[in-house]
Amino acid sequence: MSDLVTLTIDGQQIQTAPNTLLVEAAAQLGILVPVYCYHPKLAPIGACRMCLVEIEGMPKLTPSCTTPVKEGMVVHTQNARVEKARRGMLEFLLIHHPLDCPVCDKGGECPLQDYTYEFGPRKTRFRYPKRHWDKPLQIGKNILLDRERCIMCLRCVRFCEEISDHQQIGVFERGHSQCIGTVPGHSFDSQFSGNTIELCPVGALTGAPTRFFGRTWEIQHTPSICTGCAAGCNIRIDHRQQRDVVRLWSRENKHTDDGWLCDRGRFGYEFVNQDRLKDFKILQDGQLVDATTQQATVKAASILSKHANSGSLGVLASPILTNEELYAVEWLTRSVLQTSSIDHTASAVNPQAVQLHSVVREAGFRSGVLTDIDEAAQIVTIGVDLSNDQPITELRVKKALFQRKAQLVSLYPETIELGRYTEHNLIYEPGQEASVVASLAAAVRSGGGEGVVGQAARLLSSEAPKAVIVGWKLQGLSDFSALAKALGELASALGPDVPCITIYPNCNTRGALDLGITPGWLPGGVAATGSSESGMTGIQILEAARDGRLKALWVVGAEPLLEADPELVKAALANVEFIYQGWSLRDVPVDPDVVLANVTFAEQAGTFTNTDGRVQRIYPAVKPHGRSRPGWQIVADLGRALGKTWEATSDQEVFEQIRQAVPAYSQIKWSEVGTLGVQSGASAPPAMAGATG
Amino acid sequence: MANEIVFSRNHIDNVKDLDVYVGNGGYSSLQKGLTMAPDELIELVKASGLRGRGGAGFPTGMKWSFVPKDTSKPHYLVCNADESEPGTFKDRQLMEVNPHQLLEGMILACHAIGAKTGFIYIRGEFVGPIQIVSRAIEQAYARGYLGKNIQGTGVDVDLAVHPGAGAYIWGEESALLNSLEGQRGLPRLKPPFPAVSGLYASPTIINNVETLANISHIVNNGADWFKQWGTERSAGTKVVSISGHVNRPGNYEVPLATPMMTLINEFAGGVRDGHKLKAVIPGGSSVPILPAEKCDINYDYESIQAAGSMLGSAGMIVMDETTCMVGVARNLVHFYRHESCGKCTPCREGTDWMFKILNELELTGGQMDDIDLLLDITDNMDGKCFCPLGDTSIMSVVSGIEHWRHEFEEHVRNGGCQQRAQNGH
Amino acid sequence: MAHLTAESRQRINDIAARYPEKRSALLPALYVAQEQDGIVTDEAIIDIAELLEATPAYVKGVASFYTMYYRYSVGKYILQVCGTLSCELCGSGQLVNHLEERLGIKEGETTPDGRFTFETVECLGACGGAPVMLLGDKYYEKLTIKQLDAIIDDLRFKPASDHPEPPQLVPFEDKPAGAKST
Repeated sequence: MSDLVTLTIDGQQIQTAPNTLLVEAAAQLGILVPVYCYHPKLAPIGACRMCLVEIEGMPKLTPSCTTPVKEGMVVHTQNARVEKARRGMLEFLLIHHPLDCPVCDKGGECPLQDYTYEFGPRKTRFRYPKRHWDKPLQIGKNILLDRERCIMCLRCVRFCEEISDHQQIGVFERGHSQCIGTVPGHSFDSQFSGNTIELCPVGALTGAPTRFFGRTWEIQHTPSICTGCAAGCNIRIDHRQQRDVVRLWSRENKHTDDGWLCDRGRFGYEFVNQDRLKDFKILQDGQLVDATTQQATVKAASILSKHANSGSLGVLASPILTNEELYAVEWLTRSVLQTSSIDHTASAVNPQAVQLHSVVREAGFRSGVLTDIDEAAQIVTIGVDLSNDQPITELRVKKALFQRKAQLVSLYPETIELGRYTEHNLIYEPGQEASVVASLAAAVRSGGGEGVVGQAARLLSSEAPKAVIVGWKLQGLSDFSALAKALGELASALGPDVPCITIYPNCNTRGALDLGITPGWLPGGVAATGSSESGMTGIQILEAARDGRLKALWVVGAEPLLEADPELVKAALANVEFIYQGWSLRDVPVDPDVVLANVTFAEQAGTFTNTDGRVQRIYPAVKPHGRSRPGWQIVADLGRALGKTWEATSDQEVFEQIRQAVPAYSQIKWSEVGTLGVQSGASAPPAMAGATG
Repeated sequence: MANEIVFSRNHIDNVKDLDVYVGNGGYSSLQKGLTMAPDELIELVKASGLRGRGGAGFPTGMKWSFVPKDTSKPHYLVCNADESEPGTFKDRQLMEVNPHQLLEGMILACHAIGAKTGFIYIRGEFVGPIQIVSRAIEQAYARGYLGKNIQGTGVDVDLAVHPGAGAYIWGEESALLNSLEGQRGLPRLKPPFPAVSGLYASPTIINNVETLANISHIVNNGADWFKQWGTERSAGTKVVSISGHVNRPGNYEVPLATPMMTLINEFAGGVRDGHKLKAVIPGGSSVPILPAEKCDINYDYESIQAAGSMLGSAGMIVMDETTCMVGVARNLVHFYRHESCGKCTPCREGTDWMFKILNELELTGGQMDDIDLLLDITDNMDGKCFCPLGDTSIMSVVSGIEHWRHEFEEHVRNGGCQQRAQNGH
Repeated sequence: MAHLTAESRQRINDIAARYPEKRSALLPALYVAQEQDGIVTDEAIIDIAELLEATPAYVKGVASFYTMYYRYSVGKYILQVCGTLSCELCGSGQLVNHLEERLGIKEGETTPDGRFTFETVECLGACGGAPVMLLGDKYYEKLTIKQLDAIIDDLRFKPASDHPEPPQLVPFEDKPAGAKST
């Protein structure tokens, strides 16, 4: 380990990697050096001067956030000289600060407050009027700015410059009148704006939707997973005494989110608090009325048993449900009700999406994970606009482009946000995916060619490590074989072992596919046989219901079914006996015959499988509303009412069953899933039945 | 003995015109300089002992030698003509009177550091110099002193003027580069130093106008000729800007180590009539103030440092006995408060706070403990700012209280500045 | 809808072409906008951002850093009296007092007729000519109250449409101000 650097900090010796910054080396020893402008994910600027330390032999104090370690350095972070400088710096920061901690959202989790308490002066020596600004300014849909609290660390501006490249906020004026601001008509509406709230070390930037959410010390934190898309961003649910969710906060996981959240995820939690089903309900005389759990369960079971084993029942389950819930639904549908028409609701919205993995697998790419993007020098995105389809992964690609100067080739029907960073935008007519992919593959093999395709091919014919990202917007998936062939040609043209990351539409679409929530395939990608063989797809189920060929529908979770063709959904639901299991009746267009109150992700334990197959746990943060219950428990009750016993009595036990049924999950140890998740095995989810035909 | 080098052609009528300049020996250094190997040229400038005339006094040849030889990136030369240091006004005259001398120096410097492009960053208020230098560049292009294959030497140099827009960017060269790149004028983190990664992240040398104006003379006459003036560590001449309470304010090119009192009494015609010397800021507003009794020294880098101040940019501000030292500190701190870029905490907030205290002392007297509070604020700033602007903003306060503490105390006792009350402003 | 005229846009594009990176043209581009409108407006900032491939917030950040770009309306003639040390030592305070009295406005304000804006500014780099005033492109050095009055008188009665040549009172000498050999 001779390439390590040895130095002494506050009398303790440490060996650390070269180029480690002093502030980081101190942290490795557990020594707190206070910082404001420094942030591990942003380039250091050395502006706030809070982290000054004394290095023996240097005449001046040195900022530890910009100074790398050196062999033999002797550093003092706590002597009188350093402490006076630190106190002086805090005094400077506070002379114009409003000291309005009692009404500040940041109070209680504010580094300015904390460091002032720990290192700062006890009273002010500043006797003059403070700077005043209009406040708060709503500088974006989600962001409020209080310039009086700002200490000019510029983390927010640097994030928008270095990470998101959405430079909608800037530093205006200079010196003592400097401030953060936006230009009229160009507000701070970046979909990553919420990250600046977390980055802000004071109460200058706060969330508009979360304003006055409560005092931070009355807030509890529970680790969870964002359900906004399939990235599987790790989050922290902040709640008041398990009553309601007041805020979502990032929880860094380098495998998924890299420490950031998009605004859609961060602020998209209202469904947990509002319009919730508290009770089970049944339809009586055209009116939905509250019922006991047992009454509703019995009624639902009777509808299900009436249509069991007859081909007249369809089951649609949401890909926002947990693996445990989905597995229970699959068990009841196939094993108890002998019904083969089961699909996840996303397939009614994006019928192609489910085939994604099969296409990629058939093409011969290595099954990729998000972190493969971090290793790639060349990135190819096909049929995906990450900006919309998986924002946090867009940031990962931007990181590769900005920090490592990776290069991008984009294949999409229009110019996407990432298209700003490349000359290789292969824009095609929707539906022409197979031919454009095939022509790119051919050009790569021949080492070049005409036009944009040729240029992109020349780039890709180098040896540089590559990653391919394929999304569900590949419309050509309806012509599965042509696209699979074209992608296969591309895979072989790009060379061996190129990872391909698949971008799914919902937080647990991948889990739904792994668990057989798709016609023709059982959990673990086992092809269904016998009566289960030919089930209907989501769209087919809705059409059959509308046309009277199905007599009953069991819908578990309304999202994203309600995003499908509303006429079709309404006509289908109105024409059958309709069992609805979910957390809200909002926007459900037809009164169900039975309503089973399901909890949301915020109220239960369980697992989700993200876009690249990472299995991650959620934990109950708030108490279930009313009598609502986790879906697998409702299903267990239904099974019991139908005379079948569901063996599991806890989420862990359900997961054990899943492990046994799904080979890709068999190596996952429950105890290791923890708060950061575990990658599932290589076996891929199945294709939709009939798609290969 | 004066006006030996950079002002040596100032007496020539219309020397800003190319023909006149050439007719008086101008551009004669190019044949020699551009046919020397770049390293030879650097060695020559090193041997001459020329130090940067912008303020920091860093040896010029050594600075040039820091440019890496093995980069594929283009190299740049930037002339810092953003003259803004209070008390300093030499560059304006150097550009207005003899712009070709600067261009000639820049062409040589470009050759030495392997740059094909040079920018002259002139402060925006200097409309006259901007026009004159721009015209000189046009003339030089027309006659083959700029552009491709200069005078048949095979050397290519392009020069362009870049106007500033109002900011005291000081000797903080990296802030000037940011400005030239179209950014806010904030100092950059170092390392990397500009010589390695400067303008457009390419190797860049930034030199002051006067520094570059010396180059052609050194090339023509040699290092020893240059070293006949000044001392061993302060070679050559220096244009000293003298302003304030003197009879003949102006720029005077003198050998380094000329006695400071000679500068005041003979060149600048002495302290204004009927008054006597109280204090001198010897090197621009960023250096400590010297009381009269410490002014009997030679004007060179070492002697001024020994006396407790610095030569800096050689802007001498002379003050007579009527000067209120609280007012001086207030005035200069106001300047730094206005010019602070705001990047680092101590400079942004410290200059504001110091000004508020000094303003109160000056106008209504403030409190006796404000004086020690001021010193404590300066201590919390000293050496802790991101760039020298903040660190030097305290000079007038520290030296003011050191030498004239009684004046600060009188202000408190009298409820403000008596003189200001008398003068009615 | 572009705010900058086709001519201004062309000028900015021409300037941008001179630099290795477009953004270097930002300071000159802001001057072009100021020449067109008298001040740098948010609309111009948005246009410049587009031309130089920056964002409006970035351009505004740069424009507001430098003191020579006006973002609020100013008078036809901007009188800038240097207030930094050498000028103050040489009596710029009296000039300021006189201007306030004569124009009836405070420092930083504009006369009601929109003719004069008067500011005190930091060091103009002409300390040898203290006290100094900058008016348009021109430095007035060793300025006396009498000369100042003459300047104002001259500008005061010019028709508003007339773009005057500022009067030549104390032209800067081409020759050094002194340095007689002794």
